[in-house]
Amino acid sequence: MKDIVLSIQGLTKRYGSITAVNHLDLEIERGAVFGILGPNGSGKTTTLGVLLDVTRPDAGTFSWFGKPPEKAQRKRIGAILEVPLFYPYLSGKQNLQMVAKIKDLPGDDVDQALKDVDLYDRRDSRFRTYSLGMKQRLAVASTLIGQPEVLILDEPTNGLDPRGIAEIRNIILDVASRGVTILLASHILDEVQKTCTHMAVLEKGKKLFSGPVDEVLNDARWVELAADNMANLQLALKQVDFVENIQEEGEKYIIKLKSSITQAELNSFFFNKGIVLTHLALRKKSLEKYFLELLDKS
Amino acid sequence: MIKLLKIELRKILPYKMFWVMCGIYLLCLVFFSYGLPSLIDYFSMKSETPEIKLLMKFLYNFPDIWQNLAWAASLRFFIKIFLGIIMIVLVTNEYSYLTIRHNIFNGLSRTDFTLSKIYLAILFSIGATLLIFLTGTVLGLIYSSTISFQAFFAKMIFLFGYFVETLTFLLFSMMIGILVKRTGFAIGLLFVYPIIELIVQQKIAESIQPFLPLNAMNHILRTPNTSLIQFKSPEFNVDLQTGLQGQDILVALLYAVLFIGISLWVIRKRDL
Repeated sequence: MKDIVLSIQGLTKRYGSITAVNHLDLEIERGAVFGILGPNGSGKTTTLGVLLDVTRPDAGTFSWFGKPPEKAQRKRIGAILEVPLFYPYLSGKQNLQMVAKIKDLPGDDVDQALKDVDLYDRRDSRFRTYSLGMKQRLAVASTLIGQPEVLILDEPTNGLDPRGIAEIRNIILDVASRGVTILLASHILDEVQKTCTHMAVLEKGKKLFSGPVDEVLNDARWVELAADNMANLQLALKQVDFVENIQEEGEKYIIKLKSSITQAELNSFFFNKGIVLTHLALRKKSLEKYFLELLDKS
Repeated sequence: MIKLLKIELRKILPYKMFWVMCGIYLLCLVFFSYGLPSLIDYFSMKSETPEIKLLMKFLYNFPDIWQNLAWAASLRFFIKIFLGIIMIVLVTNEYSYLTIRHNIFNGLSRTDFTLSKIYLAILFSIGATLLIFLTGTVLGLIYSSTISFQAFFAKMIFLFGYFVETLTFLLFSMMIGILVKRTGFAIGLLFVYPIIELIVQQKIAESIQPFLPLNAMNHILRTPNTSLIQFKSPEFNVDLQTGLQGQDILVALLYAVLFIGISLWVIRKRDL
């Protein structure tokens, strides 16, 4: 039986004449790293806000852990919403202790959480004095307190430098490996591609797609080819009937196949034609390409 | 309740601004309860008018001192506005830092959040009442012409009146903070509202005028019929108060319930 952590039915939120979230249905299984992908203003943060009772929906229902969304359920969730939200005059440690207190926890893992995000040395400095990256890391630390079953991360790498982004990504992957369900909203495709097992694509509050990331990416019909004699290769490609599309990219050809064909079959086909391939690789379709395709269609 | 209060204390005890505002309030209280009468006495001594009545000689007499202090401290447009400002700042901070969201998504219900501010208002009212009690005790013990067990405790009921009035006023300030959300605007409204009420008062029937919020609150403690008013004008026939009236307390408490109700309703309904 599937263990559904979050179930959303027909969620709708309007701001005046704008429908920020439009009849959204979603189910997330335990242990999934679920990416919500969409351009700015597509309703990601609004959706997460509703799930955390910060935003009131106009229609629809949702349940956490199969129960109605009440504060007891929220205590089992660690969350970041848009920007780090802390009391500027309190230290990082005091802020995290407050989180523990609200969640009815003793707070004995506050120090560890601070160490996890490399803020332990600055634990007694006021939040106000933190750099943007440190604020963001403190927000991540606050989600780790009390070993939550679900993490909700809204643009967790916003405003971080590449090293910070990598650090946050490692923390996410580490937490995910412990079986924690993660809900990650992002407009950065790369982030979703590198961390998520499942994803949904939102545009103007509507769900365009949801499913496993592998399903999107393992589209084996794109192949990269290169040969000693590129002119011959091009000639051969024009004659065969299993190629749907040919693009030239630097020293390579990117071809789209009409049907699935193995690398070995391709290799022997060109070999029989007297062309020696110097490069042959299946290309994982980039999420970006898929994303843009979806947006184009909508 | 204890949990919510503990969380609130975590928010305010390390907050410097809070202590600064409390300090300002304390200075004002000391100035108006002790400094100002001393100054007036100093100048009337200097002026050498034949019939000088020294304020210090009777303002602080037990048991009238309780009524005099409670009345002065609860005057509208006066020092109690500082208490209102403290309340507003602590509420609107949650909006400007967006920590209200943080509190909610970490596991407080919206009702919990509102309750925690209500408990804070109760705590401050108790604190403010204790402060009047301490001021009265110190000044009374030093300056009262009669010091007896009986005189000390008589009229202490006015401190209860002060507590109810302060609590209602703080809940009113809390509601303004929740409705307006922005610190500056909310404090502005706290200053402007008494003027609005005065204007409204001109346009409505006389029989309902006393039931406007601030009028109702202020009616709990009116110009004291004590040595203070006798000093002002013994022959004036103004609204003299000799004791608390149950109806005044009831009306104020009804307002307190109304302010709580509106605050809860708004917080439950609105996006945070």
